[in-house]
Amino acid sequence: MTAVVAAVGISRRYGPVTALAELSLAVAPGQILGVTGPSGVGKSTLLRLLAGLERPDTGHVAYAGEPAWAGRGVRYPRPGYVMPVFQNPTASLNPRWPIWRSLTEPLTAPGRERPGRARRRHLAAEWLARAHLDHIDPDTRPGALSGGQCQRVAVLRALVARPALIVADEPTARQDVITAAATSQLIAAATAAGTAAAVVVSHDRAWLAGLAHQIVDLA
Amino acid sequence: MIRRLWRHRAGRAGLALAAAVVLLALLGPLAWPYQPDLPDYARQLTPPDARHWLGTDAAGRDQLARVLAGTGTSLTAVAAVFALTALIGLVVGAVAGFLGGPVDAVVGRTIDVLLGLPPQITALAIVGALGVGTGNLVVALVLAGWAYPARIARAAVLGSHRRLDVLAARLAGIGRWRILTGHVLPGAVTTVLVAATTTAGETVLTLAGLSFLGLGAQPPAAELGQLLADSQSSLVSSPWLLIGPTAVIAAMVAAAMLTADALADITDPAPAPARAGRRARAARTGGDGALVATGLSVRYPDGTHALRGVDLTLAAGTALAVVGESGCGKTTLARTVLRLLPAGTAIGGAVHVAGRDLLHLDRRALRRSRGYLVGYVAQDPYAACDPLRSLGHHVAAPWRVHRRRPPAGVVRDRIAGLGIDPGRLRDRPHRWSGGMVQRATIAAATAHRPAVTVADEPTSALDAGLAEEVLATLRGASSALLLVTHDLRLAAAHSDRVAVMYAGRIIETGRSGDVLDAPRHPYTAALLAATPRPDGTPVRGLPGSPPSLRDLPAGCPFAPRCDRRVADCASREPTLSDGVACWNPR
Repeated sequence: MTAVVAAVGISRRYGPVTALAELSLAVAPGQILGVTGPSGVGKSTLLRLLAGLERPDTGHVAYAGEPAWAGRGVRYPRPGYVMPVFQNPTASLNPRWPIWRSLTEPLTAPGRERPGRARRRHLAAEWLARAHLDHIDPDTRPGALSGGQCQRVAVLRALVARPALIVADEPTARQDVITAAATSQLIAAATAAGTAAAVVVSHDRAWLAGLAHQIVDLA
Repeated sequence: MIRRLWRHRAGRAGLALAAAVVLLALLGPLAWPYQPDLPDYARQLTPPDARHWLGTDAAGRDQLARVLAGTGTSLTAVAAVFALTALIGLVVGAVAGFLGGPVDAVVGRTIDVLLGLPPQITALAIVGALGVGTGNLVVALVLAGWAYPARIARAAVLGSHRRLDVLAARLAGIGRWRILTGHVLPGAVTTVLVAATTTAGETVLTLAGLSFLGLGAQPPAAELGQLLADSQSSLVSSPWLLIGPTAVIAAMVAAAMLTADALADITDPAPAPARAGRRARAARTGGDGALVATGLSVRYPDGTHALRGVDLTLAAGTALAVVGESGCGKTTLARTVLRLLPAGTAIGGAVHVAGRDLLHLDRRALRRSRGYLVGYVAQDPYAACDPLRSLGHHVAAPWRVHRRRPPAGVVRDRIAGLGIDPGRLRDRPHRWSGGMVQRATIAAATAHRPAVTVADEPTSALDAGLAEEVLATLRGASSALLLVTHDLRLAAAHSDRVAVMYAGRIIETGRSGDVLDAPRHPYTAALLAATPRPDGTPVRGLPGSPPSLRDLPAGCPFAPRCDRRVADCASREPTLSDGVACWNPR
């Protein structure tokens, strides 16, 4: 089976500081890889490299067997192939947009179905219901939601894109335990269907142990 | 936006004044019977009377008719300058900031150069090249004025390619142009609008000044600055000619200033301190607690009822942890004690700190008490620090805000006492680890030994090991500690008492050990079950999320998620009795 993402000997330096040195890993479809370690060992750098947000100084990243950095910029097999979940949930949603708009934004990418406004609202409500968030009005703006609710919306936004790979950087660091549990459930459910894989960074080993199939300790 | 402006006091005044001037310019010439440019040499320089309300000028023309016509000319010119500078500034600044690279470098330098020149002089030079006339004056003012909104727009957009919502859109495959128009520009529009409105008052004055010099509208057309110039020649004999143009110019400037002020206010995310409602006027009680809240309720301007009658007592020398999931009101509680709620928030009940009625301190008393009554440790230590200042600067800040110097050596001692090498005091925050910065903010928060230290999720940005150390430090440095956190285990380990909050109320309270060992409220039990354990036991989540605090249903707000529901739960909300608010406690 082709790895969803494979990294071979990747490293990244920022000026004189080596953020990540010579790391190789591969993530198979349906697999959840946990990444942990103390602050400053390059957990976030690794995620940015795997997501194609930065180019490694050495080594290669490949999506579904194809090199990610063939030409000038990064090339994904399709739009929304990699989707992120960030540590700060309120900042990861556009504060001016009602959440239906953020939730369904991935559907408006070139080559997708590009549904109309009414359809998008409807789809957003469906996704919210699927995550037991049906009490949230799709017209709410992120400012009126709690951090935990925003984080669940942000995870859903990633799932709406039907990604092959979810990269999550400390998705529960600022969350209460119940949001953390809900976040795990959403990620686990998405990967259990075998359609997506996930790389999850967290310093909370206990939480990660309950979620990931395999854990990499960068210490 | 207009509706929010109207609700703001200065905004309403500004809008009303602007509307009055516009109506004057539109309807005035229709209603007033005299022509602005019809000379009547029989009636030169007559004082105001029943026929000519503002008198007549040196050519016998009705002054009010001229002022009305002049208002129209000036208003059109100002509106054109406003719209064009804002539009050009927005587009040029935002596109440059978004594209970055060489485009941004060129545009950025151009803006810097233009801003280095006084706009009036630049405009003067451009009119000199183009020739006089109102149209040319507008062109000159736009050319001289677009740089300021452009800089604002550029700053608003700069770095937006690192914004998290933009990153997510990029990964979803959304194109650059749509990210610019969908995510980036709308945010810049507001800031540019505020900037352009702020300068509109100046534009009125510059325009009047330049046409006063004879560079704008040419006779016989009327324009406010030019009317001023005309009246100047007969200033001593007929001073009344000044009244009209001066009044309208003043009104236009005031309208622009007031509106800009209000716009800046309502778009500013930093909250202004709210004042307690009249209902809260309680007698000076307080008892022996370091912090005593009685019947505290808080309702935000959007109707969210974040606290619904909270009573709690924090005894001196102890630590109280307030626990709950996001949206339960614990942060609101911390902000109330800090007096940091946004303006327009309705506060009921009373909060006493060290016997003082906290909600009724006026601005001055509040400022004087900062750091003495309540100290604050924030969640993100780096965000609490100025990246350009050394750590020593931050630890000394509590003295500086009261215009004093820290006693010699005390900053060093505090830092050393918290286990940090004082030799690193000159380093800036980014060279310190999160734990060290958080300890420095603790040193600053407790510098004046405040009666209460409020810490809102002080360790959630830190590693688990560090969290333990920092909390121990925090506890040691505080005389009484109000610890707001979502982590029940951490809370129990570092506090004497725990108060669990749900939907704006305390639903269980008691000694930390008791609550942790034998939770009585089903919600507390669920919180515990959802907390990961070191042994890797799978956590049990709690479906759903807390109810909206805008319109709570009747009955217990936790009932829809509760597994111990009984008949009473749907109809009546339980109140706290014997430490728990539940109809069917364990």
